[in-house]
Amino acid sequence: MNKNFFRTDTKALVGSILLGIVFVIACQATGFIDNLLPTGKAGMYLINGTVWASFTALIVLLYKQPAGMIAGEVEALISMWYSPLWIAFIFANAIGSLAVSFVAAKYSMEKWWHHILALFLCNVLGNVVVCIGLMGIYQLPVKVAVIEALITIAVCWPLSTIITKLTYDSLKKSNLIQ
Amino acid sequence: MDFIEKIDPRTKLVWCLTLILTALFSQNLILEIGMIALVMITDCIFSNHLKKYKILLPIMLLVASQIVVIQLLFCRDGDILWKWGILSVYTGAIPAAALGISRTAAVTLAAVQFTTWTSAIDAALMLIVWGVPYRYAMLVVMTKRFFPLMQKEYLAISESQSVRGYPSEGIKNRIKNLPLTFMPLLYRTVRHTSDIALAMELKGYGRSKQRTFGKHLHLKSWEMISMTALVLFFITVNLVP
Repeated sequence: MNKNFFRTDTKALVGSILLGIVFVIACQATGFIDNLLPTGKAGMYLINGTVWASFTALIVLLYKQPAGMIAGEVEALISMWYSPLWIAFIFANAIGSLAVSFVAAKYSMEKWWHHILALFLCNVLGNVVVCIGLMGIYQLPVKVAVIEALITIAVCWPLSTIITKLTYDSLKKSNLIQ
Repeated sequence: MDFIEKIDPRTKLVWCLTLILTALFSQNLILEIGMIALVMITDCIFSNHLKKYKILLPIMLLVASQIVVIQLLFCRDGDILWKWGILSVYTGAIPAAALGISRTAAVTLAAVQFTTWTSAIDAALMLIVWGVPYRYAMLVVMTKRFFPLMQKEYLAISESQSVRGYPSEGIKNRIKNLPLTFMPLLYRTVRHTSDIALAMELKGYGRSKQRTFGKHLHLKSWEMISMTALVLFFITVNLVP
């Protein structure tokens, strides 16, 4: 099931759209929660970042590429209705999704360290792009944006790894994915 | 048919990109406010439908408050205005926050204007004109079709959980119930994917490489002139010193 980079059947394309919409709903809800928290008010989207990384990885693991990128772009383009960082999301979602794809194409994704590596790359690359977005759109000072990105990675990486691994395993167990 | 619906989506895209890129490159607060005004004026003239921006108002206020907090906490430009313990507010925070808020508003409003002006089928046709295979281009239409359906699915799951004893009224309860509602939504989505993909394939989706459409895109000469004018405007405003 793994070891492939591409999957272009109709199921993967439809899955990318439907999961992309669920991705949007999840990000909308968590983004709202983050905005109410002091960390979110200071520009650190910790819950949103965790959900973003988990969904990005999960979609790639289920439907590979280009589904991962399509779902990411659906999320980024719909997020223009609720987040000013949507331009940064266009690039962050694509890069994050490709990073997970590279790891998933190389490893079986059955061990914890496979997920740890995939989610590390996804979180780091995605947050680098969002960091640039924070500087460009929110006018945040460079030092502050970098520190915020590092804190976000430190929190989101372990949490998203756990969520992705557990969810992926439970979906495999349910036999809904083939 | 409204005038705006007759315009080619590529012209609308160039208009939208000109506004967005100008807003992103500019460091001038007046120009940013001008971009916002331009979106509003063009919407008044062409579609006369400003209600859609009402939905954005609470989100914009939330984002604006976030930008103000960030600038008050972290901006170090100008003189100290107020100091309390480790917290120092500098005079540069207010103009930086105003620029950030106006830029955010300009970018978001321009993007929302483009999405409301362009129908999903026009966007799909635009992708096909650019050489994207129809199997991928039609995903734009699919997104528009399935978005309200998936939202309804989420609300249905939320209500089923409230029947099981987890109250779902109010924001607080909805936040509390997020883990309880998202896992079933994920499972149902994966199951729906298989059903929908099978139904689509049985109807011949993706069987042939080409597909016919009832509508075709044609760029008119005045649209070409408008696009050139927009590009020239962008270069003059942003790139000419």
